[in-house]
Amino acid sequence: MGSHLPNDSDVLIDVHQVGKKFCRSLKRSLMYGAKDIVRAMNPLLKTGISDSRNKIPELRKDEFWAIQNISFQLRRGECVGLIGHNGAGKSTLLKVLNGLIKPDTGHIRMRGRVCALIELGAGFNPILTGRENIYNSGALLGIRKKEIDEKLDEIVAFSELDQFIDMPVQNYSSGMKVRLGFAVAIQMEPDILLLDEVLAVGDIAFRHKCVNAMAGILSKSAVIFVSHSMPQVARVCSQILLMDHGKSTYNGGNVGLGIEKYYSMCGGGEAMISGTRDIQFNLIKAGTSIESASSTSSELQISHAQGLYIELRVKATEQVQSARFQITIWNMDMLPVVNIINADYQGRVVNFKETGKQEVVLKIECPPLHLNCGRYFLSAVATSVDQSMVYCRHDNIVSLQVEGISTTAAAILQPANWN
Amino acid sequence: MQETIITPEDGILSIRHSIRNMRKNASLTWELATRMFIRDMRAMYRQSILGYIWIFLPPIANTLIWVYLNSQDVIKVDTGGISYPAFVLTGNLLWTAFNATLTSMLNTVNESRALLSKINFPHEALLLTALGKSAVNAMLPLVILIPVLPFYVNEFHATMLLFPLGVIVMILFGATIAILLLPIATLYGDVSRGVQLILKFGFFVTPVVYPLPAAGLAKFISDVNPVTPLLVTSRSWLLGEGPIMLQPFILLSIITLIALCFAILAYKIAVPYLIERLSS
Repeated sequence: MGSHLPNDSDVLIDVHQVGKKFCRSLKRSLMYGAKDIVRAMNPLLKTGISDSRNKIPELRKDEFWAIQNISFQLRRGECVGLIGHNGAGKSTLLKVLNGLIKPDTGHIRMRGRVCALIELGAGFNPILTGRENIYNSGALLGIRKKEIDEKLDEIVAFSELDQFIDMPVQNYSSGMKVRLGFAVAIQMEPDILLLDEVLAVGDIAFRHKCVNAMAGILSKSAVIFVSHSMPQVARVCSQILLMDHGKSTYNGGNVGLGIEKYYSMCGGGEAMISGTRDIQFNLIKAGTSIESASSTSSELQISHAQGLYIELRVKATEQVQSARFQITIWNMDMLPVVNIINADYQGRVVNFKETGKQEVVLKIECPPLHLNCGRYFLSAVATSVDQSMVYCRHDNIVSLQVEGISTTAAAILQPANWN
Repeated sequence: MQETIITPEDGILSIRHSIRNMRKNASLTWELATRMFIRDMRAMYRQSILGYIWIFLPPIANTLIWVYLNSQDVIKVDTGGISYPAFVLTGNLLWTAFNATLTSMLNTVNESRALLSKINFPHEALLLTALGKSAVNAMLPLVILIPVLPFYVNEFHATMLLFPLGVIVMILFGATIAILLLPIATLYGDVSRGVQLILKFGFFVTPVVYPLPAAGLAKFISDVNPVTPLLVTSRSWLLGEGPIMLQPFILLSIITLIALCFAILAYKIAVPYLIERLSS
């Protein structure tokens, strides 16, 4: 207790042992709410900063800790990536930090102007024009009318909506609303910025624009960034706070380690088979090389720049005369990273009719893979030779856990000779 | 640099904290409330042809119903020499000021829950905006009186000018009850439904379309009904009956003002707890 550094003037956010309870049952939740309000208003009571730090309230019936014992500090110029699965407590923590709801335990000290981009375009009145809504939205964020008058042109230009600015917002697309909302919010020049996945909407061009605009803010303020996109987290953040069921499971400056821990929390993913199923795959062996391949597990741990060896048994029905095979490696964001093909940049073709057997074994030997650390999934795909028909697509036939050396946002780390 | 401390606090500390907060944000609150008021006034009738005429139609229609019933001898009200249309119109304007303020302000938090759970802004601005809207909706129809009154009132006197004050007290009285009930009404829908039910009775047990009852159960109810003195006094100012029930009127006005301050503070303390229960 009392391990703060209150004199460190650059610490903009100091979160200490913060916890928040939620209630599973609606009826009870409302009743607790009413009781809490009465408690908060009872002038004979006196509990607050002095004793709440040490006192931990008991869980009432049906209650659970939505967040528990969260502590971290953030200085100007730092950005913490708040990551974790759905329901891990990220948004709850953000709401507590934003002062929307009160914590049940702990203590938060925030210094400077706080801007929370939790949902862009909240507070828009659909029937009013974009221009009118700029003023409303600004007033809600605490920007004075005079400030907006000065920056109106800038806001409209940033949103790229000048043709539509006098049109009712109800006719805007969701992307346009986000543009307008972000254009207003970015004018705030905050000391503390809370971002909750707001950049997930909007088209690529605008997303780039937002990221660039944020880069300017990042250096001047302390940022808390909630995201499920690890490449973005790796690119922006200098710290990671990984949450699981309300608790912090990793908190530190090693972004790579934090992201790796997040990935390893995800399950392997179920094997999924689609296509006409005229072809069936069976995994015989998998490993980093022929010698070390074993049949025991479909989950492989490999180091960066290690090779891959896979043996697959392929069974085809009588209808299939020939087929083309390839393997795709996907990352956690479900983006294809590598296509394993043969030397002529095509999938490997097997002619069942010629060989006279409907069952063959494919042995795939792959040179060192320069994958960045993280989790990857392999899919085996069998198509007709002209690729017009998918006979079988077997997702998650093997999963890879790549131990990294360093983490950047890129999927592949390619060493090269620099002269 | 401004510093914000967020920590659990109850009782006297949360009261102090809320008061400090409201004072610190006063000018920002005012600006935001004005902004939201303009926004809502502009948006209110934009999707409409008659537009702001809709503010005037309900009290006129409501008055016509009672004038019709009275003229057809379906009901017979003895107003003691005052013309019935003027009597009902003023009664209606006053009652509507109270009734509309109470019912609309009771939904303040629920209407803005999307906003409250996403953006941190001075919550008391919502009350100011709602109060402003109620004031416009109640005060604007008073202009109907200007062309109508000369037909029904024989002589003009200075106390007539006090009538708008009566409407303001009606609005504040409705607002005070609404804000006091707001925390519990936001959590439980029963409250708004119950209030609407009570107001339906209230219209008939308050001397809106009839004068003060002289005896019986009706007299007892109208005596204990706090809306009675507020309504009757204001109406007597306008229609020149001499001030009736002036003392209870003044007493109630003072109580209303004190209770309003208390209600706003209670609301300010309660909102974070309401957000938590609404959005979790």
